[in-house]
Amino acid sequence: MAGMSGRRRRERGDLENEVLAALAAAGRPLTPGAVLAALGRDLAYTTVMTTLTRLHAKDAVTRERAGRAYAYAPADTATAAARRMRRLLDGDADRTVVLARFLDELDPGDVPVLQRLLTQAEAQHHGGGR
Amino acid sequence: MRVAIYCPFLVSVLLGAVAPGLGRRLPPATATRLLTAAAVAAAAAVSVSLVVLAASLAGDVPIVAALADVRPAGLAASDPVPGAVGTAAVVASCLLLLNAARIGVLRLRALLDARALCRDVGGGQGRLVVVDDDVEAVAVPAAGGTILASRAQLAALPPAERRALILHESAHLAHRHHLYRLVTDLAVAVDPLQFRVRGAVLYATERWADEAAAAGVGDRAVVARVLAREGLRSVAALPPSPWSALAMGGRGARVVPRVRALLEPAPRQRPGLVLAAAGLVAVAVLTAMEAQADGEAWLDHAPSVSDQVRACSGPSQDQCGMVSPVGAVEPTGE
Repeated sequence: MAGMSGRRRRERGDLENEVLAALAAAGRPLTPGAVLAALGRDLAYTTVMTTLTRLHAKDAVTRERAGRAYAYAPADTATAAARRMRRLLDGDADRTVVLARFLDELDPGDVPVLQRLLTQAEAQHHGGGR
Repeated sequence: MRVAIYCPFLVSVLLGAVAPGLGRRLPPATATRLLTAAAVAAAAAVSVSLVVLAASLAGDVPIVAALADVRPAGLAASDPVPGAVGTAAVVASCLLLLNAARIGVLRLRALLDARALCRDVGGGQGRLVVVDDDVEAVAVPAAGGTILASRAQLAALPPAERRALILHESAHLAHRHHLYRLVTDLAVAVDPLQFRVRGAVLYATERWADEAAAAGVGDRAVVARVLAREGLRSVAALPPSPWSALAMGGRGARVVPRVRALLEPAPRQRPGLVLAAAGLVAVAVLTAMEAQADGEAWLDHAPSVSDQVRACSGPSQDQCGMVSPVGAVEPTGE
């Protein structure tokens, strides 16, 4: 039971992050309807609304009136953090043990292979993405 | 003992040799758990063997022999380990212990730095923090976990791929991948013969997060796309330098195999491979235990200078005191 609730909490956190990412990507305040469109998947409007309210309660987003609805934007992003983050990542290659980077390692010589694989992956998708 | 004591070293080399293959063929969660457990067991076995070898040299040192109340000449005569090997074992033990301590301190410092960073940017509890500068997405395992991603990166991706990226980093945090990586890292620091296990576990945890993201999005090709797209973007963003290809190639370019793995069917469970790997490590552990028992027996039964030892050489030899120098050394290897 504890595992179940842990998983549900994680799913909720993932959705909050997904909404935050959509807001950050948009670069301007979005109404809940616009957020729903930006998420590009089958979700209930109320789910998005609830998530935005929860994010607002946590001070992760700010909101302003936009007609009858609120428009939401991410709270101030951590500009200063970027330099420290870069230092954290680049300072010592062995830190990949502690920090899980998305790309790990990449050889510039792999570009043609990656391009071919990307084409292949784009041909392979079945309705999941845009 | 003459052969058995060297067995754990051979097993470590073999484990290092097969680890990348296991990491590719097994489902990534299985591979991560199996390789981490195997690395720890193999490192423990090697440590025990090293200490037994080192202790054999200790028997040759007059002061130790005096403490143990045995005649050095007698010990040396019955010593199954050549003196040079014993010396090498002592030097290696000291160096490896120092190395493990150094690695431990480095990793701890990285974790503390990461924690401070997370606190300052208001992360924690698995929260996504968006930064303005264009940096690669990363999962920071501190304060309940923080995911850092750049605005440019998020804006460049279609919604499904953005979701896959977040689910990938979230899986790292949820499954505590940094712990598997840390444990393997330390095992390799103690036992460098299995150094390739480290890269295999790094790769397996990345694959694990890829498959978790694929399960969340419901389409493995979406994760393949975001990996390939981000890979191409990062190569374009980094100006190539004459040595970068060499440096990166040397550490193993692993994004391409991850993309390939996602475009192929998901790996099946292979109990046979798991059993074979477990069996291999079991050999190391058993031979190390046997070597340790033999080492103790050899010191116990060495010719002595006093009658006390002879009188004691029965079932109750633990109380004789002569075992203590060995006993004081050996537990450190476990």
